[in-house]
Amino acid sequence: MKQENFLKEVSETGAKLMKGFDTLMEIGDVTVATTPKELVFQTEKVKLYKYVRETKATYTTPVLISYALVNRHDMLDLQPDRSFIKNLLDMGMEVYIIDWGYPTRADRYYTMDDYVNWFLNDMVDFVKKDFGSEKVNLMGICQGGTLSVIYSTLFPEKVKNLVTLVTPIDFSIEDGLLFKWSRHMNIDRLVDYYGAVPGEFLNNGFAMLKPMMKVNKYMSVLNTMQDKDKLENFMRMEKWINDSPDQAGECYRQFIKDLYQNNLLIKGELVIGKKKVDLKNLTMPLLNIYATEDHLVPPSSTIPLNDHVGSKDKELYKFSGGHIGVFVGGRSQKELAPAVGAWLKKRD
Amino acid sequence: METTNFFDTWLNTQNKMINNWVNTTQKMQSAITGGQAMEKGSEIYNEWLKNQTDIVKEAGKVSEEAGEQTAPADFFSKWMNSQKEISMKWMNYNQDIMNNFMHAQGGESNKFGGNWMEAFNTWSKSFGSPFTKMMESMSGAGSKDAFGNILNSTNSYFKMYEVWMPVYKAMTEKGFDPSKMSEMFSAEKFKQVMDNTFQYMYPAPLKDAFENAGQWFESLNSYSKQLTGQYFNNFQNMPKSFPMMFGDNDAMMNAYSTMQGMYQRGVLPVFKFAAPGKESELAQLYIDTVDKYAIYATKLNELQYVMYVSGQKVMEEMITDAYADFSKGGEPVPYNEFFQKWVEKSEKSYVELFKTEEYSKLQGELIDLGIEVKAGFEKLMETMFSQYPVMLRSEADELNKTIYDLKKKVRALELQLNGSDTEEASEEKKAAKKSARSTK
Repeated sequence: MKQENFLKEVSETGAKLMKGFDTLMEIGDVTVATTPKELVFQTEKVKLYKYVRETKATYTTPVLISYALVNRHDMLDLQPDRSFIKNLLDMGMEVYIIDWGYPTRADRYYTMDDYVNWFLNDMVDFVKKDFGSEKVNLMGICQGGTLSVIYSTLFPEKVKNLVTLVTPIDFSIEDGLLFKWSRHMNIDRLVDYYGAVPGEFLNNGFAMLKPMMKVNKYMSVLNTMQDKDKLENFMRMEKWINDSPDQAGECYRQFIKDLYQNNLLIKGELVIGKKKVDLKNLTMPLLNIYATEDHLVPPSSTIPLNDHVGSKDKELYKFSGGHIGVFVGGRSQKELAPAVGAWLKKRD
Repeated sequence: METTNFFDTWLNTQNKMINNWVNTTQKMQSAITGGQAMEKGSEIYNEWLKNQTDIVKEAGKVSEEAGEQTAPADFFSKWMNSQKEISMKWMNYNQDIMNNFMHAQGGESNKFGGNWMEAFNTWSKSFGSPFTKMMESMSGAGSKDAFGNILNSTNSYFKMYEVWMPVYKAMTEKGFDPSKMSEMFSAEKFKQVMDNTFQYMYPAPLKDAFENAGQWFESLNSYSKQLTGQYFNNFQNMPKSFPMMFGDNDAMMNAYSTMQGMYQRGVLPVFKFAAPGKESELAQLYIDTVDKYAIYATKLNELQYVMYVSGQKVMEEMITDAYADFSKGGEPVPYNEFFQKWVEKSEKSYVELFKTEEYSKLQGELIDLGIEVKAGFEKLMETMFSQYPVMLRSEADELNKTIYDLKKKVRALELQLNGSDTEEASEEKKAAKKSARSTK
């Protein structure tokens, strides 16, 4: 390496920073989740949105999406040209989505029982009534997938088809850092103190799964900072990453204790409300989607669902990519969304 | 003022300024690589300044013609000053580097690494402040955050260079001994790289909050001010006084226990003089919390230590690999490539560390201790404010619990009214029947 070359590298870095600053000034704030939708129902802070359709739905069963509580559902509609939601609408589905809201310390007492038997159940009932169908197609994502699985075992008569995406089921795995770390957490002290567990605390945990990613990401973006479109896409992702709601304490306590620490769901020992959750009661058709490079929810945690449910019609879908790529990657739009549509159409 | 006109002018001006700056940087780069940075530096800077002044004058004129009411000239003038500051520093920075480089070429090669390190150390000092000022004018919070993060990552990039340069220098000289590589790079500089890269892991706000609370408490309880202050200072000075304890947490804990015991013995008699009640209760709570904080700080030190050790291992591997390539007759890789390799190797190494049971346990303990400190601090606050007419957090929690219970009850009754056969409704029905029986 010649010193002159290094000077050039340094100068270039400075110039890129300056140019990037300029482009960021032009961009200002970015918007996400722009596909039109209407608020149709609300219970407590939990809202139900219905996406606006230009034409009548061609599927006879509506889709209800239950996203994770720890991040925002905007990921499914991050930008117009990479929108999982828009894809589903274009295929002819009626799509509803749950917005779990931003719990505060005042919401600390809401339990998993409340999230499943109250909020999720009310949403399902509303969708059935609004669309005029006897059942819904439930689509659960990540933690929202786990809640959907639990719900489907408790209310199998209300769910026509269940689609799970990157959903943790077996929490005893050794290849996921979050799973390992959770076993050593004093969850009682955490919840007792915070009441609503801060989203920032969880986000720091996620960042540590790939500890150098922040440096790598921000140094890499320096090379594309002159490209306004690329920078806008980057900013949309940044906006999503930093938008982490706090977690209602009691729900979080049970989720970590009963699932991450004691793996009760797969053991058939999880109790929600006063009912035991038996995966054998999950009898509707199941499409279980996992991502091969998922570092948040490794395939080893997702795949076992198919071995424990009572469904006869069950399918595993392997997506080559990571946890986020399932929703925003190019292949997600070209391959995964159409595959989900075709699977549901066949069972509509 | 027509907002569109003002912002159009502003945007246009901003673009011109940036282009001027980028052009100047390119000229500076050519001058540096052509060995003329010293001669041409002032000339390039003056040219930049003239262009910049013309741009600002033009912007002021356009705004005036548009009849804008607010003082755009002032706005642009301030904007220009921030740009001027950063550009001047940029010029000086480049010239400093060149100066050091020329000295090194002039026979003082032993100072080569040191000069370069000094030059690069000025990066964050020179640029952090002006960029931070400029960031204030960004409209979106997201843009500010993103740029702040980018700036922070470039700091890691430059800090890493300070670590790498002396090794590079040694490698290109005769008699390089890879087995002594750890002596070649500065542990302190490397620690800075690590701290900067992983700052999101270290809960500085907790420390700040605690120190602020300490000051607040000290002013409230003058009688213990001297003692607590002394105690706190002693603890804070420990790493400086006992550097050998770095990495040896048992020694750290033993020393701490001795000091804490001495403090307790010294302070307890003083408490006996205090009137029984809130003051002594507060003082005791404060000592307990300081105690917890000290244990937490020790545990944090332990976690940082394992991170540093892991990082150092990666650095040694990087040097071994780089030397292997270099000794085959090649040239050491460009710095950007080196940095990228360091990022990739570090990622693997840390993930391996994070997978271990020991690390998971340590992290769990640290989180737990951190929360214990916060909880102690909160208890302190509640005790302090218990005599004032304000709602305490624990009281708000009780109220929220009551509201939650009532909401659940209302929901169950609603479900019952709607004829729902849900679990909640039937529970409520049973409770109502039971209540009716007992009142008969």
